[in-house]
Amino acid sequence: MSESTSSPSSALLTRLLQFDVNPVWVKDLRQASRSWIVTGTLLLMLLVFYLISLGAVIFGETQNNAANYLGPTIFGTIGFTSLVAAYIFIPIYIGVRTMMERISINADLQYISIMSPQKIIWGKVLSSVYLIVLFYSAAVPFLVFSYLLRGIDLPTILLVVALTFTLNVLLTMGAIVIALAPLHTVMKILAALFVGGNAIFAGIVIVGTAVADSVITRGLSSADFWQEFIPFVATYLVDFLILAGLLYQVAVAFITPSSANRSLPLRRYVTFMTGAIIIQFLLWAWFDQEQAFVLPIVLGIGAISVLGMFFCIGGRDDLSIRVKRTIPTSPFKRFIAFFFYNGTLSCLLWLLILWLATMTCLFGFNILWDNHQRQNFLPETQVLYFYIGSSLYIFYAFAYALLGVWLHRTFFPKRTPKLATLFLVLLIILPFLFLMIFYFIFTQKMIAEDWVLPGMVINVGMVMANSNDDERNLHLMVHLGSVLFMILVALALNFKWLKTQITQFRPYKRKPEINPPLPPLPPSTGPNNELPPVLNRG
Amino acid sequence: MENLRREFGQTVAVNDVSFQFESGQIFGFVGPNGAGKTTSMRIMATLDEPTGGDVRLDNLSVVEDPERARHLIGFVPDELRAYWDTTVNDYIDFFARAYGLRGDAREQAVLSVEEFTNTAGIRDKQLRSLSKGMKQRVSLARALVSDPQFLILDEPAAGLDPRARIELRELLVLLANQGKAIFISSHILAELTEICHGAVIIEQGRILDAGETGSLIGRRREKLTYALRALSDPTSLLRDLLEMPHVDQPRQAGHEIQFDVEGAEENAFEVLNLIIQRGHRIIEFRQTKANLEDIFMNITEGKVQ
Repeated sequence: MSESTSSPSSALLTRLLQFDVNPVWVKDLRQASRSWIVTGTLLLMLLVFYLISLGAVIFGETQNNAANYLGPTIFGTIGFTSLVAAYIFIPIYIGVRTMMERISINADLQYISIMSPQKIIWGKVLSSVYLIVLFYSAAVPFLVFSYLLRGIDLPTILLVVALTFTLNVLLTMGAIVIALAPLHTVMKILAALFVGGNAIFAGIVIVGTAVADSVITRGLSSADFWQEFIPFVATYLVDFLILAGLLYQVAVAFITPSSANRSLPLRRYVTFMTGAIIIQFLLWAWFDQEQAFVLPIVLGIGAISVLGMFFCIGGRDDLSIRVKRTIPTSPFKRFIAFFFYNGTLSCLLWLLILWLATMTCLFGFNILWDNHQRQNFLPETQVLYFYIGSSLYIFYAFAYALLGVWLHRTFFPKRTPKLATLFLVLLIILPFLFLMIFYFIFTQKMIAEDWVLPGMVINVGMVMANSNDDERNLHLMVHLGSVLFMILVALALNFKWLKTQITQFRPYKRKPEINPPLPPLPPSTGPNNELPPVLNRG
Repeated sequence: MENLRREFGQTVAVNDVSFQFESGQIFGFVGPNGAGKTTSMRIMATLDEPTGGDVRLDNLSVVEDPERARHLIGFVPDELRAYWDTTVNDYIDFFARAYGLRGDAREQAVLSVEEFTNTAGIRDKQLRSLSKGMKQRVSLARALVSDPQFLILDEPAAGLDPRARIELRELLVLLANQGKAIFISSHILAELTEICHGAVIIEQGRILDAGETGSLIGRRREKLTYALRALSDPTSLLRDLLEMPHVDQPRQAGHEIQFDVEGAEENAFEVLNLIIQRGHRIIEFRQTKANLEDIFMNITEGKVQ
């Protein structure tokens, strides 16, 4: 009894006493401290800061009036320089190092050590954060200098640093995710240029806007502090943590062996994240009486669902014995577990359910809003537009994903499952492209924007842009009918695959041995000078 | 290894390979380039996953339970990769940390493997400045720091000078004597013959033969090769050998004459008698030892996939 009550605390104490710094953190920092690239960039940045400060003091206006204080000028220039340096250099440095460790044949042996994937990623995140802190600390003396020159207040400086720092952490984590993604190196570089480039640009714009429009300090006055500033900061922090958590989970999933149930932590997290996003923005909408706050829910969870379907059909279908061993025996638990275990079908269904649950929550909120708020949640003409229009994208993605799976499993079963993802993309683009080209060849005209083209998701955007409410709603219903028909056809085509996916999801039972187990190796050779234990069944 | 299979698209790199060996043994893995050796070893080391089959270490599956199997495995790849901006000591220390060693135990483990692999003198050198031989030592030290029971070495002797090769061989024998199971692939087959208890010969992903080195050689030898030295004229001796029964391919090899004798050892005795009867003055007559290289050349066709 006493042992059971004391064991958690003693276990915690033992863990604390045995605390050791994350090995990846130690290794990465040792490498960074020896890297001439890091040292060189840091020194170059300091030199630029020095020259900016010196130039501003020598050539700047020094009249003693608020409009001409040098503080904001120096702060702005140094802040922007450090922002660009840290936003571009650190993600590239961390991303390239991580990618080099994972290039297939050169796979770094740390990934086959006994460190858990979580520990490896956590170590990488810690070393990234440390590197960012190093860069920011180099900028601090110059930022203090800008404060001393007057014209800028400490809260602004601190808030700008905090904002840029958190965005920098997200960018670096994004670089780790791209570096670890199971893609060809060329694809990783393209993803880094496309996604990373836009993210860096967005980060700079966010910080720039926040500073230039004083968004960041507007709520600091005593009247707005609790009403505006704190909710904004809290929301920002929560969203930062949610996004950082997502990137962390994705990175962990990428390096977890495929024989493990790597979907479980990720899907569990995304489910939790979806709930957090819904609650957060519904609260904002309710208390601010602003319906537009539900848009991040629709856009965010919609993007997750579509991207999730895009990626998950490139995975394997079969469950490893290791995964099968953990499948619950209870039918109810097994039913729930199905959506959180590896597998293409389970992933597609889980994403579809996630979206339907989101829509249900929004619909419930809609009813609550209409009953308790002064104006309606949605104008009557826009109800279909809001619910059906947004859902069409997810339904189409689901239908295309199923068709992509069917094409791959039927015609190219020996080829990589990633081919199914390619089919999904082609199904989205090619039919619309062909139609557009043929129509143009025969009529010399472009397809009219108010046309309805069932089965083509690209047309949904055109339909939704239609200003005629009645026609738009009718067209949306045509699309809904066609996508549901496509889903039915795709399900019928995939019947065999669906059956296999569902029936294979049962707890593992070891088959009785048909062949006797391999005999042990005797110390000497057999009577005929043969070696009995070495078996060649090939 | 049980029915191991690895496919890359349409290519079958490893095709239904099965064998086993025990602790304290050194087992060689022999095959031409592209035979599937590295693929098999990467699967054993949990760096890759098989399409089918399994590898079991002490009944622990590397496929089903790679995390636990990694406690038992030390892998030495053919080349020490990454971390060029790291010192030898930092590199080994990192892997000691990665394998959960802490505090004094870690320091002790790092020191002891550095001494064992003779890398203590270069502990502060950067990896990029090391010779191939030294890198292999560091790689071995890294693999040994967690004291694994099962050591996998992929071409560890490639590019090493003769001294480094002999030292590596001695280290491996020492490790096997400590009870570790060692699985080693190498192109230098004569050396494998000397240290390996057994070998697996693989080509195009399939096992061609496997067994204890002695029986493997014995099974595959259809002819015995003999060498002799004589004080008489080698040309007339070669001419006489050509006329003798059971003798095949007599040839001059340096100061000695070599020839193959078909059939049992009694035939060699008969040949020796005939040589002496013809008046040749023999001062040395011996059977040359066959090694894995002969077997390898005998049974492989040099095909790659």
